[in-house]
Amino acid sequence: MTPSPQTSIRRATGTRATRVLGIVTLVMLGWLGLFGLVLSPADVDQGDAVRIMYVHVPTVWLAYLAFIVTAVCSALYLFGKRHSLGFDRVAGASAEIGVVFMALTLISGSLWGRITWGVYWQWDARLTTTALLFVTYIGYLAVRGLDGTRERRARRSAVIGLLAAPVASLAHHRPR
Amino acid sequence: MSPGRIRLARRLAAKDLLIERRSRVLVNQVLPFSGLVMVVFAFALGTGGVLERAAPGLVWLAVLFSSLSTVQRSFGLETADGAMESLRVAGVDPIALFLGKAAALAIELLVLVTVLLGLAVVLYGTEPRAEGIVLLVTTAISATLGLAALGTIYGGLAAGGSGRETLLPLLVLPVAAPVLIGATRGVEAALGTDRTAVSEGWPWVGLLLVFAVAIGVGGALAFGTLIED
Repeated sequence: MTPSPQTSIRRATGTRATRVLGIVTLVMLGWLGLFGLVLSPADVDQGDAVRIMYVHVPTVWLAYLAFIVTAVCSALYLFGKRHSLGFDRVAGASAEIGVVFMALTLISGSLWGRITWGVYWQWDARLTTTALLFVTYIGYLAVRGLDGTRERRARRSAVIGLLAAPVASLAHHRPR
Repeated sequence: MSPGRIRLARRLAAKDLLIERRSRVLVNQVLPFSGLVMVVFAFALGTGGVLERAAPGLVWLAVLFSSLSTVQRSFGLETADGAMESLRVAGVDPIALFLGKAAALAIELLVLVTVLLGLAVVLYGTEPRAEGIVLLVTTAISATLGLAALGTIYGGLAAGGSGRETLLPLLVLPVAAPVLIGATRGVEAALGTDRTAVSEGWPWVGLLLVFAVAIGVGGALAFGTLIED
């Protein structure tokens, strides 16, 4: 059986660098799993629930980093001289990563809260703003899905990406 | 800001308000809807002290939900017969367009807020106090300005058919959270809900004003890009 034309022209997008990065990541994930679940002792106060923190804290930092990258790339696209679509693609990809990791943060956080506080959710400022940030970037991704040429989509998304960042930070630093 | 731009913004706002005066959509549809939302809240929460305590938040929730219809109506006018496209092609300054639409929306929302605060007195038994009136009015105006600017930015983006209308709540509601929180706390302090002092409301007015200015400036600069298709 001969391969279909689509199969024959499909090219791998990986490079030597991304493959090495992937292998290093997998090894580190295994190492983290071993340390987090087996080698490290349970916490004096939180018991085994502390192991959720080994996932929860990195995921929230990664999500924030991804949203910062989205804002920076949106600014670079809008205000850069060449209006490079590369920045738009990085902004979009970074927002997708941010949304996935923010979802993981919310899920792992609520599981930790159920064990520690007895409830999945508490209406404190940090949790609420985190949930709002999550929904804001879901909206950003929805805007990216709107019709139009690539340039128009990029300009629109860059504006929304830039507007989302300070508003989220304003909500985070509110008084009281 | 140039006098020409201000004059143009004023004309655009007057045009929107004239259309509203003739069509009476705010009076005949949005106000009854927001009144209904207030009544439905009462059904859901039951009578007693809960309603009175939650009244400031319920008023602003009803304003927020009703503002979505008002924004959709405001931009529906422009897209129905390609008016926005005509304004763009005619070279109308996007900043003036943003300011005009936002000003008209702010006036409409201010009417809505006034009616809903009055309804809260009648339906939820809230009692305004004399020393909180200045705070109440300042909170209402600053929150309305922020909501109008926000609605204009995202209304411009969500107008234009092909399933964009459903985007509006998803975009507006998370970003409007600081307004909802600030306006609720401001009105709570003005009314003295839970024995809150009037002085506790002013930091929230500060937050509302910062929000309105930030969104207003950002929106004025970004509006041209958002409505270009």
